[in-house]
Amino acid sequence: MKFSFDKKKMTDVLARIQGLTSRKTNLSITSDILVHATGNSISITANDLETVFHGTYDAHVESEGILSIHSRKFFEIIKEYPDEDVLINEVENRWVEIGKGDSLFHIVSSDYENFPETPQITDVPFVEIKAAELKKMVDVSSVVGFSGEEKRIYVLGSLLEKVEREECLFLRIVSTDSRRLHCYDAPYEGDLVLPNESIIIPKKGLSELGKFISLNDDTLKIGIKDNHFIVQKENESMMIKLLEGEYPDYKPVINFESMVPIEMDKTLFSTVLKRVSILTSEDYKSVIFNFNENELLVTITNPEIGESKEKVMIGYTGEEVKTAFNPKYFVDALGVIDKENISMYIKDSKSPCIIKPYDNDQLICVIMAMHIS
Amino acid sequence: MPAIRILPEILSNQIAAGEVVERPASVVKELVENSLDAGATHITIEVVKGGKSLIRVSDNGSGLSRDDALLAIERYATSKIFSKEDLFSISTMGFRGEALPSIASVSKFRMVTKRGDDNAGTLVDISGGKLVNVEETGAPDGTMVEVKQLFFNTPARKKFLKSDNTEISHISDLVSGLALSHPKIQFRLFSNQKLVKNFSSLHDPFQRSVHILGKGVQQKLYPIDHQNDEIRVKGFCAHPSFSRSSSGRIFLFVNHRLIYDRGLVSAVLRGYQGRLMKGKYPMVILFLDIPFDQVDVNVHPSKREVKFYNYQQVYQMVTLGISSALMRAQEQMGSYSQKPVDGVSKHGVSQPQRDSKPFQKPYQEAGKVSIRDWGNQTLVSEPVNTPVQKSGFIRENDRPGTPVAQDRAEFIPEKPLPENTGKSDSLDMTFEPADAGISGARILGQVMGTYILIESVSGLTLIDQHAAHERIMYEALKHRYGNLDVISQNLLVPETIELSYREVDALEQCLEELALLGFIIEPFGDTTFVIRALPSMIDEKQAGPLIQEIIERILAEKNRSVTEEWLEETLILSACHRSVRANQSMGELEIRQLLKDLEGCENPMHCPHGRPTMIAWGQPDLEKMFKRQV
Repeated sequence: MKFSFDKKKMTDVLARIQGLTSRKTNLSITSDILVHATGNSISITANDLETVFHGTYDAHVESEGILSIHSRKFFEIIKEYPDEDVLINEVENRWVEIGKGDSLFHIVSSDYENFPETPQITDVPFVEIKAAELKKMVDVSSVVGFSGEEKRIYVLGSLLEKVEREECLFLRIVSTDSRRLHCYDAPYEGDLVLPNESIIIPKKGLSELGKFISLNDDTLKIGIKDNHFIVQKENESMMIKLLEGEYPDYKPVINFESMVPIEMDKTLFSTVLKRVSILTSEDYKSVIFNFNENELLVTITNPEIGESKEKVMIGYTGEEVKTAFNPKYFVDALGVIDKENISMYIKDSKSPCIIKPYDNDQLICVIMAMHIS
Repeated sequence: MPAIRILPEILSNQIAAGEVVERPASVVKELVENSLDAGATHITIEVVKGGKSLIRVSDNGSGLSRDDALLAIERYATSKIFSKEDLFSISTMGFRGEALPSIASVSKFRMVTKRGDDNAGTLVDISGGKLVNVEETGAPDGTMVEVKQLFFNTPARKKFLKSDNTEISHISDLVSGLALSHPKIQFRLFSNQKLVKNFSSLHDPFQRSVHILGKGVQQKLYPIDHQNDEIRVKGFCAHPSFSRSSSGRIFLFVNHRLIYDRGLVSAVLRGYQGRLMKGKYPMVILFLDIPFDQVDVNVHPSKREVKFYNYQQVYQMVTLGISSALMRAQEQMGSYSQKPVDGVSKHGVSQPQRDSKPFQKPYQEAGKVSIRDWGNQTLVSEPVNTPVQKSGFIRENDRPGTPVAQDRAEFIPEKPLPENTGKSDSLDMTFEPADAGISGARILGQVMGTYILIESVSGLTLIDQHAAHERIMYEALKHRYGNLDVISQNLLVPETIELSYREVDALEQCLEELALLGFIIEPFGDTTFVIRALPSMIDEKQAGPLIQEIIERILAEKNRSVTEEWLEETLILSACHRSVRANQSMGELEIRQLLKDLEGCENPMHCPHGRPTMIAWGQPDLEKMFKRQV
């Protein structure tokens, strides 16, 4: 096979899929990309056995063929290549020649027969969603991450659901690590058909999806079929294999109906929390929130570093509540709220705290309290 | 269905023999214990072919009359207990009255016995449980029992016997054990007509312990003595560096009876906690004196197992006894950290002592010696070829023009440091002058980027900087933890765990303790529990498997300090991550601080994983290595 393409466009594409192909693995071919040249285009596939990226791009194809080449090395070569037009030529025995003239690489490629198969999914019932909304879903849920040894499905993945609220249909994503929960509702267009089982999308795949969505796109097509979450653009698509398992019933924890809202200024609250966070340490991360009439007192006493006190005027009229939280979770939650005014809900010293934008219920963040004895 | 019949006596004796007489060593045990109960002071054990063809035990005990001798071979005949009350407060070794008839039923058995006052002794011959011959005979005072062709009439059991060597090693271990608990009595063991063990009656318990554990432990054996109103724990424990990979060198005695009890072994290990590597066992000889009615030895016919009525208290006493013995030993920092000599023979079986007065050799005046040599010592230990700053501290960059790496390479000897193979059996720790400590020591520098070399009163000391810092961090964290509020993170998705009834029992016992650590667990009906909150220091972990593991440990170890262990392990891990590593260069100020902090530690001699933090060579050791002193 022999083809050439535009360096700048291809560097862009390759940069976005490096995350997919740089995972530690014992199956080394998942560090490769599959390049398929046909007609006057080439297609690129990356597959880490959980998430599959596929894209088709214009190219000048002299002779058709397929090759499987190391993703990172290929990307680095293209990125640093001196000319705008890059020539790829499979010489023989899977030796790949990159470039021509003064700058020339010979790279060993793998047997493309071993490249993991791309699942063939057809007739996907797609609905349309705004790129910005999908991006927001990804951002809101990926803040709530997981640690390396995690095994709980509901922490490894985020739940996707169809919900009806105020007579509108929304696509909801729920993400938790058991210490907090984020829930975001995105509007969509079309007839969404979902299977009966819980749809749990791995957070790893979601973070790859974050790079896939570009805000230049207007709308994207999404759908669920054959145990995959599929996102489609004009010339590119991504398929994420769903996790199998049960998702806990999260609805009771996001219910703030019986609670009184406290209106707050997001920026002010966020800066307060950032200041008290300074005194947290690896094994001391709890901050005490003391709600009194019209006043919130936030204090931390770390015996090794020192203490700090922040007073915020709030419109609170209930009984005194003294409770403790990890301030990082507040900072994270406030970071994904775009609105300046927020509502905060608190009931008693044991109950979680809920924060959301003041004027809508599209985003709800729940933070579990800490217990000091 | 065949009719039910009472078993003939021979058969029932053989069945009993199945429990009592497992192998030649069990025969030896029963016979020697009888001798001990008869008040013997000299006991001779002779075996041939690992006891398979002959076991002969002779003593100078009280002996038996003709009538008693005949009665003794009847089942359930014993001189040792008379009433039910006696059974629950047993002070003699035997009491069941099963041993002799059982042994006699599976061997060719001969007993010759004579009381001191009698004119003639009695000879009894039994073959396979049948009385063959009884006659008067001339005999020395005491009793001699001969067991020939053990299991000749029970071939199935005979097949289970192991090689002669294995059987003799069991016998030898057993005799060692018995000898330990009866230091005043002479034991001699002959195997195939050769004297293999001779425990002189002149031994004191310490000498006998050294004799059994191996000579190398002599200077590293620390006395245990701990008691409360009821229980007394005595014995000796060896320095942690004498570790084994099995518990075979832990001798446990309850009221002078050699026993084995897993709970006691783990209590011993807890006493060594923080000093031993995981999976290693120390050498310990432990005597537990406990009121006879507080312990049941009638658990198994072989009496290897016991039951304590108040086992937690017993275990705690043992743990405390050992840890305080080791603490005391550590106060002598120098001698404690000195490298143990390699004089321990593989099986802990030592050769007969060459020298009967090792304690009176040159260092009887160690105190004076060290004063006299003090100035001298400083002179001698001045490094000759290395530039020394005023402070005595060598800095790597002192030599101009020499790259650091090369500089460092010079410190690395081509061969490992010479091993201290000399047996410094002349050194007795109890005569060592008290240590002035390491914080005031002269710092000679850091070698190989990993070890700190200092000179202190006790000699030349190498300190592993990582291990030392780990110990410091660990104790700081532990202290800090004790002062902090316990913080737990409530879980948004409480985890439920399903348990078996046994596990429920174990968990319920420690719910409160777990709550103190920050695990909030509540019953959720039947055998289900729900974990509502986790300690905030581990809130990223999944709680279910963690709790399950803790419960399993509680069940396995039957002690409730498991939660404490868990906390320690968590802190150890965290300490390890925060400590200075090997190959990290340290300046003098840093080293000085490290030494100071280390000295302030509760257990400065070991890192929390049990590795030593320092190794020292005293002046005598160095003199030996340089052949200044032979």
